[in-house]
Amino acid sequence: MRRLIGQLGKFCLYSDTYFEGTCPHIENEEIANSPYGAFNFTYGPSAGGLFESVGIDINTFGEYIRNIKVNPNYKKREIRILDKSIEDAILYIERINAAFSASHVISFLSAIDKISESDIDSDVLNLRILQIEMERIRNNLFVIERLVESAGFQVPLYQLQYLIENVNRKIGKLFGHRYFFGVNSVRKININDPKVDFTGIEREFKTIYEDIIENRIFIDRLQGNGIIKDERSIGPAARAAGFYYDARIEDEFLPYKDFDFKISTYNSADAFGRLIVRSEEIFESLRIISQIKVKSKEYKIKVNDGEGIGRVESPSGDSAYFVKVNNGKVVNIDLLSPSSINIELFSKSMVKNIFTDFSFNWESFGIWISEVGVRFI
Amino acid sequence: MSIFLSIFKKKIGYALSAITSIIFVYYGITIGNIYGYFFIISGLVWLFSSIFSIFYDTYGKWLSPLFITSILGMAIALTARTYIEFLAGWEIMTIPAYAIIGLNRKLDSPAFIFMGFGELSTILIFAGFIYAYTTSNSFYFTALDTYIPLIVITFGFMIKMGIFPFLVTEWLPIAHGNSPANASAILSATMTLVAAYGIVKMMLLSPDIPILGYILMGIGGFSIFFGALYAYISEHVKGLLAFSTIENNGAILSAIGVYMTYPTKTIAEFALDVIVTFAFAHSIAKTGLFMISGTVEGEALSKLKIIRNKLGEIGGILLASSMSGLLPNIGGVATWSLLESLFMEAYILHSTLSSISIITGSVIAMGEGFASAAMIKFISYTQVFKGITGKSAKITIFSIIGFVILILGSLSYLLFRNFIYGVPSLGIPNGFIIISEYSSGKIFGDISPFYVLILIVVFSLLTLGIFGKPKVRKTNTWNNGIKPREEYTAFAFANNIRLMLSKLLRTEIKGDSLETSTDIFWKVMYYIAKKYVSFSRRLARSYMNSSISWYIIYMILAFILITILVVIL
Amino acid sequence: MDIGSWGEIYMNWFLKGLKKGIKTEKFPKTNPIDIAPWSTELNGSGNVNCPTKAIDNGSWNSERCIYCRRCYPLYSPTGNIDIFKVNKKNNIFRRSFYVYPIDIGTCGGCNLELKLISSPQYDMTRFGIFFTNTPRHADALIIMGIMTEGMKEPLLNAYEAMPEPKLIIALGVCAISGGILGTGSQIKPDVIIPGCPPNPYTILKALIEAKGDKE
Repeated sequence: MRRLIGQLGKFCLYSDTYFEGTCPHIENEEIANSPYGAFNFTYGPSAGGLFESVGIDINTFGEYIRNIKVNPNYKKREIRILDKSIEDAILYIERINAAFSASHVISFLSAIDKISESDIDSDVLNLRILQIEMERIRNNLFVIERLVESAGFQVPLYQLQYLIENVNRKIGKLFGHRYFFGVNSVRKININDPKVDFTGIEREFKTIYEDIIENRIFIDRLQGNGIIKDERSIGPAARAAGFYYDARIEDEFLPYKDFDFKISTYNSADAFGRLIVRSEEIFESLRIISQIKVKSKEYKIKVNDGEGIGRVESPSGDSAYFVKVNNGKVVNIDLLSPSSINIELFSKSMVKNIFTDFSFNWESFGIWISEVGVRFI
Repeated sequence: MSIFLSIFKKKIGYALSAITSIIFVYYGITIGNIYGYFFIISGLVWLFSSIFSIFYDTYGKWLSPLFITSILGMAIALTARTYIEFLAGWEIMTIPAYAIIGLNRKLDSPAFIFMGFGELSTILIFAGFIYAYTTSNSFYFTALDTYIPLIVITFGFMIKMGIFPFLVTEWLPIAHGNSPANASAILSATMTLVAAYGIVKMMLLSPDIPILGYILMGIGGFSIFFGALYAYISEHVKGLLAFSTIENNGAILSAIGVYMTYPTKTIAEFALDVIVTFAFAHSIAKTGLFMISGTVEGEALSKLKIIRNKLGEIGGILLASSMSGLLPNIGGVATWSLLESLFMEAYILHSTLSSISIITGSVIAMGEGFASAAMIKFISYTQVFKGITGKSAKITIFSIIGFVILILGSLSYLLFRNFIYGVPSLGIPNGFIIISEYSSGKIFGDISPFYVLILIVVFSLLTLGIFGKPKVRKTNTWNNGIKPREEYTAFAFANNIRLMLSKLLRTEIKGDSLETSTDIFWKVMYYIAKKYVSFSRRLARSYMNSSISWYIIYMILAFILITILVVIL
Repeated sequence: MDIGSWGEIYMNWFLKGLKKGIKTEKFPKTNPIDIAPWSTELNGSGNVNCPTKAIDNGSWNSERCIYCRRCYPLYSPTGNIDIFKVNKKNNIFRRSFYVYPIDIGTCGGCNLELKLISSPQYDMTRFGIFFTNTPRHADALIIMGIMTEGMKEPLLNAYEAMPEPKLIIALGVCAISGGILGTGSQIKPDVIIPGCPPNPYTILKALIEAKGDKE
């Protein structure tokens, strides 16, 4: 079943294909001009409650949110990546967004692999899946930690932070760097110490998870908050609404079908659903990881000139790169980041809620501004 | 005479009325009984509003004569010794007010509503007076031995005060909100005072009827709550004050209720003093607040044009804090004494009836919370934070009133003649503490407004002396890193209550606006009125059916009826 | 729900917290337990083509290194986390040190690592270090990321909003020298914490020293 993902440079990307041109545009119902008593409340760019610098304008007449405009361009960076070699380009792509670093690099490399000649070793592909799933575990834990922090729920907050630090240390020990910098290159994957064990994470997370979803007060803040059921949604937001959207089963490039796991969905389309989906995904990712054998691998690859699109399922949804290579250099590159779509969904879902719902809803989408505010030059 | 002069030259007319107000005040001081207080209050209000009007009146030629005529009517009503004088004064007071409201906007409906309810109250008062006449055989105000006139007249006056059970909390704000500020001042402050005066007069002349007292207590408490709530969510600069008037009239009514239930002689005396104090606090502070509303341009709180200065800020804050019930202003004394009287009554009675006074007391406390918030909202958006600095005579006048309020707080001992005390051991000589007693010698509570004032001044000076003048560093506002762009509107200020009490206020959020219906009771009333209209239309059609034969029958019937009446009498 | 079961729920969380035990490490009194190697000091010799010119004439400049590993195996990590520099510190912050992080153009990595010093393993609050939500209450400004156009004004405003005495801390190579993506922060820092992103151990030790505690 084909679904529309978003605009990738000059292409409109669908789940199984892409066309040149702009994606069909859905008209946003324009909220009428400011009525009596309404004003724009500024939140950001620099505020304690926001994790990154983002300007958010909330149009309200007190407590009630009529409209939201998110401005991700305060920290807009220009990435000087054009005419660089592929190895050099990887340095930049890694540092677009550290939290999704593995997803970005691997989707970039998937695009490169599509214009290369050799077959990629399945061990290498498994290591790529390992990185993405470890990133997914860490990121989902982080989203849940932010939700719990917004609620002022101190004990699980610190327990989750403890767990996140543990996962980070395991990643750092396994790959040498906690955010996968310097791990992937065109010819090999750097492993630091292959003997790292992820058992124990599941048991620890299970206790925390079951306890927090039993807490009525916490659940009340999430249920009914930020309901959005949109066919053009992606990632956990889509799966929480019941849509069975996941690049892991749609894109054939990474061999997810060799592994035993299932896609988690839920039926409530609100922040609570997104919490449940992310939590279940942690268990599934741990299951995938336990099925992978880790060993360092080098491989040969010859990159031709041409263009290709690579897509992976990052922790917050589909992440895709379009790359055009000429003479071994990157001459054109476009990024479709999941956060750019999630920001639209967030803005739509925030209307009709009140101020106190804001931080829960924002965190539940797992938006990273650093991957939205980038321009490739 | 000032009326005639004012037609020609506004300012002289106002000045003359100011002078006559001073004479009225003097008369009140010398008259010696409880009614004298009402005269003093009214005189002060008229004095201030007349002076204010000199600077304020930029309307047509019609305002000043009507203004002064209305004052004349009130004066006649207050000094009336016969029922007829009172009614005459009442009407002379009401009709110019109706004209002012009508001419102000050239809108008919506020004036009509005002007139309609005014006439309804007149009818009730008239009926009460007739009954009183028939039982006492005299046109003069004398002691009566039935309480029926009291009941009827009370309800009549209650309409004028805009009290809740007539399900008409809407008419008073519409009327008072649509007239020029000086007229609103005298309408809110003194017209409702005349109504309170009327009830008190009849009450002191009628026998006791405790059940009416409980009813009035309950009604008063309810009015306080709803008046304060609607004041808080109101966006109209005068409407807010009008709802506040309803709230304060509710307080006066509750105090009247306490008196009527007459638990002990001491409490009843205390209650009378409460009535007077509240009347003072409300009338004078409300006059000042309406003057503030007259110094700003525009009517929507979120979009006013304001001129302000330091004096205005101080005066405004004094007035607002008095209306919020804070010491050392007289408003604080009034609120305290009202709550004391209710709780003393509950304490004394020790029966299920005391639950009424406790519940009333609690509802009043809740209402005072909203009243404070409403006053904070009002004063923040009219004098304290916004607007251009400048001088204006109007500002000076209401600031003077603010200081008068402060002084009155310290003078409030004079209103509680039998309830003063002293603790010389603490350094407070006799005469500076007001106590609440429920029977002679048994003290319930006490306050000392004068000492609060002294302590505030002393501690401030002490702090200034020890620490010196505060070091002030001017710096830019921190607004998330960017320049401040937006302003928090008055509408948003009260929106949390509009959303939280959305069931009670019938809040509806439409595509581009948020609306509350400020009166669910009005909808019921309107529904009843519509039903009545359609019923009467049907009734009228049934007998006025344009048939000659029926009309002849009506004439014959009327003839027979008149003949019988003449024969009997 | 009756009071009894509410009480149980809260006791429950309290007991859960207790059951887990103390997880805080004794760092900096003891050595760090588990460090990702490519966030520590690099040592070696030879000529390499470093993309940010962090290796020059055989010496490694921590302020420019983005840990891309291209110098491996000529240069390799030593595990030493003391790669920070404290140029100015203030003893007045010894017992209470409030920091305000400002992100002027990060990739999110520095934000994450900074946040993690509040996790139980590191527990910054035992040293009196806290995060604050406004620069007006802050003792130190932690600048992260490269200088971007849009954040020039907020950065300056944050700096001016802070009361004296104040410290400026540059966290991460992007804020110090711009790394590979741009230029460093406009405001000259008093404390430099290199890394891409810096290890929480490094961050914690640097903050402890900046506030005047000598361990």
